[in-house]
Amino acid sequence: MPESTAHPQDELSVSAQPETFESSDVAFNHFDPRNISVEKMSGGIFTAVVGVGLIAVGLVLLFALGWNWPFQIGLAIALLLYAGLFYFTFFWPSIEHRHRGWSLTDVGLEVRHGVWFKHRQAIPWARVQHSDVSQGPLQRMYGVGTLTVFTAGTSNSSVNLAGLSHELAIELRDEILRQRTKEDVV
Amino acid sequence: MSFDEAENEREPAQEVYEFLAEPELVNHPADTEVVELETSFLHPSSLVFTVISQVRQNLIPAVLALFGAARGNYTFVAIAAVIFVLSIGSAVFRYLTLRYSIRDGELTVQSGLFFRRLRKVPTSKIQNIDLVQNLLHRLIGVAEVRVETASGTEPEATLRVLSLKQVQHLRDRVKSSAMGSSNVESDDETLAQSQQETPAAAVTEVLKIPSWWLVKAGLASNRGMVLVGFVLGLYYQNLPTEDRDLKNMREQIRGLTDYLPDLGDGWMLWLTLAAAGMLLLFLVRLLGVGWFMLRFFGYRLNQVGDDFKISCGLLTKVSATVPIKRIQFVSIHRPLIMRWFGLASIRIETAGGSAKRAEDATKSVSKRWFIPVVPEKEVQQLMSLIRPGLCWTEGSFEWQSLAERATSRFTRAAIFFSILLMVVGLAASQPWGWVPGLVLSPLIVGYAIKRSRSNKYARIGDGVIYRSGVFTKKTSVTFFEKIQGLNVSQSPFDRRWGMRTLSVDTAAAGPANHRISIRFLDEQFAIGEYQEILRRSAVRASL
Repeated sequence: MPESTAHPQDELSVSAQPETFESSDVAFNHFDPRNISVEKMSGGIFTAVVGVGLIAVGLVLLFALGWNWPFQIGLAIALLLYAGLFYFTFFWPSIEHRHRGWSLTDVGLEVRHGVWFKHRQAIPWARVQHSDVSQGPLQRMYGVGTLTVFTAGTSNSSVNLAGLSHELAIELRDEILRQRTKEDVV
Repeated sequence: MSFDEAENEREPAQEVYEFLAEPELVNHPADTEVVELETSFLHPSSLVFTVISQVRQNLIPAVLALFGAARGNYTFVAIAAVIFVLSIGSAVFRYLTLRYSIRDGELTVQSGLFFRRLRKVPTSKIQNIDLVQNLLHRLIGVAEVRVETASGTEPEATLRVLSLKQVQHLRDRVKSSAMGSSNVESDDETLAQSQQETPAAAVTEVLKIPSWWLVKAGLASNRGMVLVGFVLGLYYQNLPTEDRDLKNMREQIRGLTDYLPDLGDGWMLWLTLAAAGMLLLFLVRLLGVGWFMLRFFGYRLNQVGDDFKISCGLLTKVSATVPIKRIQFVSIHRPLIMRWFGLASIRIETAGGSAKRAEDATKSVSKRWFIPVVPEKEVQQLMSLIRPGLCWTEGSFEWQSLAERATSRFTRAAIFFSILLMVVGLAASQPWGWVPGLVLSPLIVGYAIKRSRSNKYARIGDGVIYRSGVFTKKTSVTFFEKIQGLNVSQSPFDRRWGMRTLSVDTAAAGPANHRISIRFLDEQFAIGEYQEILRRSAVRASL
């Protein structure tokens, strides 16, 4: 087994996080740092596509309108928005990464996420209905995966752990199965 | 487990449920021939009901086609006729081929000849077998049967229609076979419990709603308004397009004055207008009364073993079952006028899909309208039946308010809203547009303060309670072993005010129309409760 995929319980004690949500009641684990690359990559593809589209539209408009002040204002706004997109593509993922975390406790599974709007979500073990592991093409390139845990709830019926290392995702899924097989939930 | 053992286990269960058979549904003499449930078909009258329901579904295209025909366009008639015949034909065909059976602990429903549809439902997972009987059904002595499980929003199987005798046997078989099978742990528990409890808990009448409660509830409800809106919408839809113009509407109203006596501009006019308004309001309320009577006439809530059985309805009779253990969420609603009458209504949520989408008869009775109206003083006793062991004394709970500064936050938002209203008013009408905003602002601020203070939270031994609402006061409770997930969140504004939102997620939330999602709680208090609830919800228990 590769070094990066320690057993969840080991990981829990090893990479206890320096900065916790607020009150340091639960030590959250970081997601796999490779997920930042996945985010940047997928965002980068999107940004590139948007960039090409903008250049095409800009050229068409330039020939149609000429280099005059409405075009210049439009260009300025477009560049500003594009800069924002650029920021969210290449700088945001690592900021977001710092604020995301997951944790297996003796009562259940907890995740936290959000930079401005902070969320913390928990599912007691006994309520887990099923869980699945998925891996997109970009995630496969970097060896990360997504674990989704479902409950019978209504408004927050699933917890999405995108960006775990794939092996860890599978291990966690098995661990969750072990935790919940003790009883039929419904 | 060998077959013989299984048979032995079934024996006592059979006896128990003979005893439990609902007396009003079927007189169940012991010597009638046993309806063989190995493979059964629908009641022959199903054919009639199928055709009727198909006709009803195709009524609108048929009417449209007739309109077309009136203008001399017969193609639509031909198309409509073809659709009509085809749909009726396929439905009839489906109902002719539909058969159901209970075998090996599974309810099997099979239909179709070329494309076979086979649906198997393990009897241990069947929660309710609900009935709907409209007037015609009742004359013939048949009922529409809905078999429900915990999953999905739709009934697992709908059998339209079975004779009451078939229904009774279906129920018996499902009950006995669910008890006989011991493949699920929790069922063992159920078996043991019901065997202990059944002698005492045969059929206990829990609640009967007399008609005058329904009259009061109807007077208090806005149901009539909904009906009026519906009728107006229908009327507007069917107006010729040139009449839809608001300008023409004004002319129409002006045209009306020709029919009315001239009352002048004095107090007579205003008096008449006021009287007319009152009369209209009263009529709308009467419509509400009619709706309540139609739906809930003869409402009876019985407890049979571990289930609640509800039956009600004036023309269309509904009988629904609610397994007490499956109740996820209980919500007591007290609208303003109901409070004046000293009445309340109780809604519940069970793990059987939400009834939010449509007012399906059985579902809405067993959830949204679980107890449509009940005097305040009986709520406590009912709650102790809904949740055995729950002592529902709202006065004695340790109610927690929102964060200390929540009221100022509400007030600030209200002031901001009032100013916005004044600005918008000023923009809309020049010198005096800001006056309505100014006049309304004390009301808005007052409402905000009341709203902030109406939010109360309490944690009791069994679960969590949340109360909110200014006009319609809603008090909801859910229990630790029903909590599916917890969420605590904080927006940037929350952070500045030192607050947090705490939400509790349950299965099938929706019909009660009240979520336990409490905003503006004190930061530390919210996180503490979050941890405490999480710790307590970790108890293993089935839905």
